[in-house]
Amino acid sequence: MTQTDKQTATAIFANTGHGPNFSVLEIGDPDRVAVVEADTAYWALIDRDDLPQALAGSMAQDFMVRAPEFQAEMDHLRTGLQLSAAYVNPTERCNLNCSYCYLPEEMRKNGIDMGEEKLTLALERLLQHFRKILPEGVKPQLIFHGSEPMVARDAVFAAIARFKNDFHFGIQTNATLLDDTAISFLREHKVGIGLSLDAPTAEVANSTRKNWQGNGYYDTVVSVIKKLVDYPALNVITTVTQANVHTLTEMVDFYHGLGVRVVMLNPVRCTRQGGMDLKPDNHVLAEAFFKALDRSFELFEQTGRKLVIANFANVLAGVIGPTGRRLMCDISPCGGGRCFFAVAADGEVVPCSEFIGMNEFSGGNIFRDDPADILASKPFQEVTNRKVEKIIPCAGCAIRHFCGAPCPAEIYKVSGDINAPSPYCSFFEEQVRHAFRIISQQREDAYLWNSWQTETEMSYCWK
Amino acid sequence: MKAQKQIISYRRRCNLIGQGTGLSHYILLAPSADTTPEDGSK
Repeated sequence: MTQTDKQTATAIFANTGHGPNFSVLEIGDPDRVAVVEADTAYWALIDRDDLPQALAGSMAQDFMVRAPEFQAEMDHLRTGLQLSAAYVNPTERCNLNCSYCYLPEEMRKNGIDMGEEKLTLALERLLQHFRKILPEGVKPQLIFHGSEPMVARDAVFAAIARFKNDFHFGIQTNATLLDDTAISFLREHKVGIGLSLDAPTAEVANSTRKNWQGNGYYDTVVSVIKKLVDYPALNVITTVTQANVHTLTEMVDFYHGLGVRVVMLNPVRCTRQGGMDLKPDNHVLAEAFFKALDRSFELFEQTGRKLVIANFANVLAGVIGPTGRRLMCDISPCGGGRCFFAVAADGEVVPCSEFIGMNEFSGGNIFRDDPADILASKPFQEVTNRKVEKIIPCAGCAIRHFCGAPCPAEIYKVSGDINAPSPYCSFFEEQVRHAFRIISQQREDAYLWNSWQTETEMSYCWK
Repeated sequence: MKAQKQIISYRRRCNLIGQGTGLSHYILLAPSADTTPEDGSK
């Protein structure tokens, strides 16, 4: 017997000596608990009676064989990715004044536009950088974001037409300025479109999303959704607040009835006072959110048509395939300042749109500085070095790589320190437990994008 | 006596992660406009 064989044959105990650090999680499933090795994001769902096998036996040995590969994958995800996207705000202005907006009011009311010439220059400079760092044939993503990018429609559409072969374009818009000509243009240029709607009724939806005179646009937004519902690159965002948290199940019925395929039910960011004032209670949010998820499952079973609730799908994806997640919020460091950054209308570059208006997080100016220097700047490093290992209680939390303790901008505003836990911490805990319950029921495919199966491959399976 | 449930443990890997990309961002969560919808409808 070789020395290696002898070592393999040696019994390995979890949680002592060289054995793995396995945490046991109560997930609320009648039969199973989760066993998690936090650093590698390894997990197993096991019968409560099988715990000895996990803590002293073949499962611990099996994990130890694969642990270096899992660790390398997590290291690459957390520190090895390239910048692949930029959010660009072509204007500071917005025609709406939503109660919870994370951008400063004065900026949205009386701010500047970048203008067509400078927007073209900004995209040219971004493209030069992407061409240096991305493999040949890989297109970077360019998302027009706000404030309201359609306020600068002419400049945005000119940029899309000019750079149509260079970027995958997306636009996040409140939909109020999307006339038929604009819709045709965006369809023709295959631009990803994100719209915002907060409730299935005008009364609730218009209470938070309204113009400077206090008037809402529920009817307009629903009309635009109907026009775009057959468009594969449409998604709709609902910002969840105290005002609409009780409507989430109805919202799922409403979206599914319209034929929408991808939505996000995003808890409001507490980045500014308006958001803080509207933050739903974590327990109330969890209960309403899981009922909405259950409803989406029922509708899928009844009709065969999915309504993917993408912010939850991303958590689920992050558990069963950490590198297959699409959003880079629920991993630490988050994607801000490393996978993407945001360019404000004055050219200042911050790690993410959530940081716009916080000058202390500007890494430079796109019209003056090399993006490589911006990425290496001290303000960016503050965000890209934010790791759950530095945060209490996240450092000892078993689900720290399924949650990521987002969002640094929000936490900075709430706590005055980015290395602090999220105000949504207990909601995020419950969300991961819910993901494990769905895996235990073997229903995960009903909650994920269909394409997720082809975008990912099985790399490990317990036999 | 209760029947024991099978252990579930698996992991998937993104096919494009080696390119340093493979991760869409939230505006581009929906499938590409170049493709048909995920449920195959027109």
